[in-house]
Amino acid sequence: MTRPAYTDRVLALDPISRGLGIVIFESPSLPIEWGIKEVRDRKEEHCLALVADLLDRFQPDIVVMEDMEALTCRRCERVRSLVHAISTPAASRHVPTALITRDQVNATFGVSTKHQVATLIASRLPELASLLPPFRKPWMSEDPRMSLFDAAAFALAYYHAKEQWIKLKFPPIEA
Amino acid sequence: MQTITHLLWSWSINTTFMSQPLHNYLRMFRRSAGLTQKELAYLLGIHSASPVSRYERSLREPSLHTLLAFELIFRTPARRLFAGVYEDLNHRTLGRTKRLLARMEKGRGNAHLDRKRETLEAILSDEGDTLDLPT
Repeated sequence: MTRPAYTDRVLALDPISRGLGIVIFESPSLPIEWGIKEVRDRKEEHCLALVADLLDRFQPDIVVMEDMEALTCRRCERVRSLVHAISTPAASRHVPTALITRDQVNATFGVSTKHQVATLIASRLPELASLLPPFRKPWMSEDPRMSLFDAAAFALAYYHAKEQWIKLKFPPIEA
Repeated sequence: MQTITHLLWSWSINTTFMSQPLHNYLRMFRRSAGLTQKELAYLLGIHSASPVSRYERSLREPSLHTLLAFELIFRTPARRLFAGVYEDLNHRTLGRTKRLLARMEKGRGNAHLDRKRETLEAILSDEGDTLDLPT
């Protein structure tokens, strides 16, 4: 039996109007928890309680979310402030928070739309495949399940960025 | 809270995370298998989904019968299903093995003691082993 290198346990979050899209990865091919947590009233308070519970239960190494300061980001003020607020319970548990822009996600997957990213993730992770929402027509509002794939995309972009960083900072020694 | 680029470049060569495995991975295996808690409870021969929920949240330890049933259902060894418990036990057992071996260093040349020593050294030789989670 070989010892696997436990990679970073990543808690990826995507706040939406109805609550939070959540995916926890132990490695890029191993999601250990996923779902959409609905929050109806006192959204910020309940979302923060939910995040605190996830941090305690799963003890992630890092929290990954969308970078709301990016120029391409078109999220509402409530979601922006929630993302800022989430970093507090994480920081109190010494868990760093990484922010990833939508452009970084698209560059990681080499595609340009959220649906293409979600389709790629669904093809790689059979656990999530059944949750892939149908293609959104221009007159349709976004399916809440897309937040799950957005969260997964942030986590996978994080793994990719870290892999690139390791290669860049510690290049393999050639014989 | 930092952008990924800033965060990565703020890390040093020693910044690697080696997370301890979770107490158990029952929820992940159940959901990957497409089973509900109620269906899993039925397979385990339990009438309610509550015990399954408690097992998943590490609020209750399963009995030997239930543990073997989990192995059968998920076709996965118990040490992978309960990875955190296994790691903890592994750590404790190795410590005790080392202490027992140290105590035995005095009596050499006895065939029975040599056999015992071999057994203990075999346990320690597997020290680097751990569970391999599904990828």
